[in-house]
Amino acid sequence: MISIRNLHKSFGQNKVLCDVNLDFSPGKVYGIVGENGAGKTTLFRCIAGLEAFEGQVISSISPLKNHLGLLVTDPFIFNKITGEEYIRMLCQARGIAPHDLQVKNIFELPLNEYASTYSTGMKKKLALTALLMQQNEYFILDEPYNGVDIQSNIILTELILKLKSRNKVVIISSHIFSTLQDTCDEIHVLKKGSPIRTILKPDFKSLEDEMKAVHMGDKLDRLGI
Amino acid sequence: MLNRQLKDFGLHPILGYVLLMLVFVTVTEVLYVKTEYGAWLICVMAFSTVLRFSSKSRSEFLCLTFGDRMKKKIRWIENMIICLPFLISMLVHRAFEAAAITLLLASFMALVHFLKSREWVIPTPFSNRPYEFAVGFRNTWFLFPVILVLIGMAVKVDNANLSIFALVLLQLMIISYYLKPEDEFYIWIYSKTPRQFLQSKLMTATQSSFLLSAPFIALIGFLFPGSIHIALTFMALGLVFLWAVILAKYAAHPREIHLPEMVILGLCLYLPILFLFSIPYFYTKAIQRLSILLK
Repeated sequence: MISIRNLHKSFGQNKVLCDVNLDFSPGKVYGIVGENGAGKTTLFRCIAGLEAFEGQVISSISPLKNHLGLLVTDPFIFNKITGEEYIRMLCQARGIAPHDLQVKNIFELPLNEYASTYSTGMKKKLALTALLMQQNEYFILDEPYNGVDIQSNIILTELILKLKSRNKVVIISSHIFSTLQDTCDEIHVLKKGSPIRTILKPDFKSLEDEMKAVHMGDKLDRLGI
Repeated sequence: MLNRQLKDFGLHPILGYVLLMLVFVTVTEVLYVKTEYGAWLICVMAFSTVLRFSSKSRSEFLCLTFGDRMKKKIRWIENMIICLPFLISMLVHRAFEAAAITLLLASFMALVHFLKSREWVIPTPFSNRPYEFAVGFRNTWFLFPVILVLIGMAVKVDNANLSIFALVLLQLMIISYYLKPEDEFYIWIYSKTPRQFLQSKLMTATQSSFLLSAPFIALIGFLFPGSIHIALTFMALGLVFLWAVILAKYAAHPREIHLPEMVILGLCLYLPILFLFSIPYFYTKAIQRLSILLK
């Protein structure tokens, strides 16, 4: 369980998050949607403890950060470190000895090559593999589907559902609505730093239609294609 | 860009250029005076500097932006500018052969670029404890033969001090593994308190430093038995300096080590007793900085 209470975050005069109150229960997958700049990534960083903020983030297992797998949008990978070494480093950071790396390499990554030579999608898959091997209880996946090939997208969706069945808390953001429809139990809509609505699974379709109507309007007609 | 880097470092650009020039002249003069292959070592230094500007992605960017012909011109001019101080130094010391080879290599390098190696992973004994030594070892592998050559030359000219110089070079190389700050994510991932985190970093650095230095110390001890105590003293001093640098790095995090830390570290090298004050100072500051990311 993660509970966020009265969370506020500003960068100087710029208010990025304002009075965020959310609850995330085990065994559920939560989607966070919002336009670019709505505050999704900042919210994730606050939950992770990477940003100072006003308010409270409470978790059933404490400290939260030691049980949290955070997949960032664009994972930073050191030069001249192999995929295997990357996974080993993340596991050792949590005091876990990595075993059966090749068996657990579900995305079939070339773990003996330098990870810096991986494509964007491969880097994301490597980071995710490492997070899974850390045996986390909570997962925040920021744009996990971006840059990942279609085969791995299928695996990723099944993986998220598997984490849900294992009673983990999973929070994801995605700009691809279908991926949220396939995985989430609830979607929180973030606008200008505040959660304005919570949508449950039966209403996902109407949310998508609504977003299309609001954001598309007659924009394509204006192009005159 | 260099101006910005100097400003970030806490130096006025003009002062920075003067200091860089002084360091360059001192290093090259030491190489000329201390070794008979000074000019060729400087040629290698020039070549390795040019090499840094020869990546495929950089060449492709220049080619796409300015066209192939202009790209070659730009790269040739860049290489000449980079090599100019090295060439002047060689010409002053009448090392005409080395200067000609440097000029040829720099011109040739304007026409080629190097692919990032995808297949060739350099094996490292530090693979089990990433990342500093694993990455550093792979970045500096080419310096190990240089250190061995220096020890070989020390035997040839029967000068134990040259072998100690090689050992100091090794220690400086190890320290360079810890100069760049890592992304905050790679601190945040640790389920350790700041104190435990620093202890584990210092422990890994100490063990890895011993592993890397031991063969060279043993070699110096075998070749110059009378100088083993000097070698061990420098090794110990290098280790203490390494601890101070690691602590300074986290005291400065997320920025790089800048002038104030460098001044303190420099003073400690000049007067090692000052480590007794600088290490606790950097340790306290590092704990403060790390407590933001580690709970």
